[in-house]
Amino acid sequence: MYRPENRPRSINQPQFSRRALVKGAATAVAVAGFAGSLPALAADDAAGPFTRASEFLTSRKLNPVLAGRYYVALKKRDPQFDAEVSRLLGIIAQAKASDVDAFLASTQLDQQSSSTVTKIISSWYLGTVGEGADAELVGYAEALMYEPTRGILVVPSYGGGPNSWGEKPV
Amino acid sequence: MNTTYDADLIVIGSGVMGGLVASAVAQAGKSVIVLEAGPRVTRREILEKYRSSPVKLALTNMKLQGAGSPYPNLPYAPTTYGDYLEQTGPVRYNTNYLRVVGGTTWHFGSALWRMIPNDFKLKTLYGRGRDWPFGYEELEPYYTRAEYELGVSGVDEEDQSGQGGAPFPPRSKPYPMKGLPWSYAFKRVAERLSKGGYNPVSESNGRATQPWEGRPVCAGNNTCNPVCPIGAKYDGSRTIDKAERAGARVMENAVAYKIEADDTGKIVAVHFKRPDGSDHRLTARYFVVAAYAIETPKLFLLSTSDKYPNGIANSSDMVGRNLMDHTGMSVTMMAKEDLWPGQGPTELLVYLNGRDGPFRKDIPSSKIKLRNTVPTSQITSALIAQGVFGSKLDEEIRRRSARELNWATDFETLPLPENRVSLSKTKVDGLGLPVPSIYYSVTDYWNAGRDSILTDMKRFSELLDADITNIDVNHQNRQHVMGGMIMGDNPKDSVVDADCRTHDHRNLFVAGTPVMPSVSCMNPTLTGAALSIRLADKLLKEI
Ligand SMILES: Cc1cc2nc3c(=O)[nH]c(=O)nc-3n(C[C@H](O)[C@H](O)[C@H](O)COP(=O)(O)OP(=O)(O)OC[C@H]3O[C@@H](n4cnc5c(N)ncnc54)[C@H](O)[C@@H]3O)c2cc1C
Ligand code: SF4
Repeated sequence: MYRPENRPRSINQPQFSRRALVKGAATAVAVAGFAGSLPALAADDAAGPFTRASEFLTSRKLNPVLAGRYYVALKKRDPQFDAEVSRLLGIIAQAKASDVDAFLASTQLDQQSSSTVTKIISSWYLGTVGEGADAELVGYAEALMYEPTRGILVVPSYGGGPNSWGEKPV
Repeated sequence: MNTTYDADLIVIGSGVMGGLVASAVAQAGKSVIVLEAGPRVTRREILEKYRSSPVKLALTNMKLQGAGSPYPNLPYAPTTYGDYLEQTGPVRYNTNYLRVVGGTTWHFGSALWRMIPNDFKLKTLYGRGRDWPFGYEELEPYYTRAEYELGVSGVDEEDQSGQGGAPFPPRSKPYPMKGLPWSYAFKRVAERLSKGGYNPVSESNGRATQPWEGRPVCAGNNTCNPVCPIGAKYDGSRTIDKAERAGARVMENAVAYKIEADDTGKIVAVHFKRPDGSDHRLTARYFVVAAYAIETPKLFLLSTSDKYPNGIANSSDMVGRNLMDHTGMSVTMMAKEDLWPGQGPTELLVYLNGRDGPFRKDIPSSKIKLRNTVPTSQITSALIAQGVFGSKLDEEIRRRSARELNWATDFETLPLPENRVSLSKTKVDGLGLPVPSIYYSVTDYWNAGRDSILTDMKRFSELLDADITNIDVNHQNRQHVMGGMIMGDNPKDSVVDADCRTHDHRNLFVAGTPVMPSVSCMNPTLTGAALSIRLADKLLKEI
């Protein structure tokens, strides 16, 4: 079974992670600039519960700078977001599940907590918050959806280099 | 000898077609002005907009494209994403051409194909559509020149008629560059389908496989649409740059809205508007309109006067009519083994078994292409919408990415006078000019193609041991705008003659795909480019 911990490392793009990190930092500045939302950085503490919920739901250690920015973007669109996150953390604690899979298997989520779960997972995986014309990009190459196929499929526009395809992917 | 004119030649439109004509004529030492409706853009700026945009444009994700284009949307040159084009027919003709210096090829897929000899004789051989006034042999040298002008990579040994035979069509020179390497998916899929008699063909295309006139080698960035980050892919900016280096004057943000003729029928001037609405007029000996197949007829229809109440060059009433596309369909299937489409460029493997044969009396010519865009974001959005979370989400992203195949088919369509571009009576753009109004439809000929391809798709799924998961036969627009200024020998039923010169006005020409009398099932830009180079040769004999 595929697990994020043993995800295949890039063979075609040995420098991918370094490049992605540098790029990530550059994007962070750019995006904060555009949204005019410096509070993103100051929001680390407020984002604590959100980060905990996110790390549990995605089974990953997550980048705190990105977490701050996802949090601000989500909260901007939903004034009740803090309450929803703390309610969800309560449900998670009650379930006493070892991980997200056990939690999802053992817990019947009500409509509200299911919507909170979807919002959080969707943000981190797709890199965007909001729908349609209201959508806002928080991370591109950092979006979690690219992780399961990293080393095989590129993040579009960050190619693997000439002739970096052709062999059977492993 | 240019005392009474602003230029020897005015070209309207700075895309690949306008660029080819302008650079050839400027290189011969003639004075050339190119009017371009849109602004200049840089690769860097478009790339940054793409990366920071929440909605990424992808050919497989047409519905969302309205929000996703990184190209400018300006009141005087509105984006064609969204509702700019007025639709009045039963089939939507939602094409997305660009208005920027360099034109639409900034975001084209870059498939650059020749038509084959029988494509030029559709009426004679199959009783359908129209014949061209000349045959493949006449266009062949220009195809070769176009391949070298645009820098095409391809495989010389292949039978592009799809029958798995000897190299075809005949060519006077090899491709300028060798073909791109195949991904694992292409190799494996081709191996399985060949057992059913399906002959794989490599798409010839505008991606460099060796350094070519300043273009680096294709690096598999997989964003040919909307922009190649490194400029490995040909786009019209290359050619218009050449024209400028040869001395042509490119005027951006200049929207042509009227072509003016004198009483003898000679074209004397073109009128254009600046973004501030101001009017300007320029004169020349010769005029070439290269504004692609919707804006070109629009400009001709707008150019009315007492003497030409139906617009310029329109004594046949054919301006705007015979609009065509390669209106298509697509089928998705899920394999039971990992294949990994999405590695390398966005497209390469095609099937042309249905390209030519006596069946064309009843069934249109067709091309089947394996889509090869990185599918991650579409797959992930769909999974999240289905409520797939936890480790299952990662597993499913991986499984579906590895196994989901999308086959896109393009069909030949026929020139039908009722399929047309006209001027909207109710809607105007930011300059007050009417927007194009489009009536488009398909006939039973198209339906016969659909039914025939559904049989092939069933066979594909058996050979690949895959399950068909989606069929979309809802007349997908293929972005290949052709017709509207149809070529023919008879001035009563065509707009331009075999030299792309308007029947009604000796010094007015049309460049590119709008003149094509029949369109085959293949992406049309190389054919339009060959016609444009041929047009420039003719012009140079006269100017
Ligand atoms: C998404 C997409 C993918 C495609 N993929 C392929 C492919 O793989 N292979 C292929 O063969 N073809 C493809 N095409 C089609 C290809 O892009 C066109 O065939 C090609 O761009 C036509 O060139 P052109 O110079 O005639 O027109 P354009 O490139 O559209 O250039 C015309 C120029 O004229 C300007 N103009 C228009 N009106 C005026 C006016 N009134 N005054 C002044 N200037 C004006 C426009 O602003 C524009 O810059 C694709 C198209 C799209 C949209
Ligand atoms: S695959 Fe990438 S590098 Fe190659 S042409 Fe397309 S965008 Fe450019």
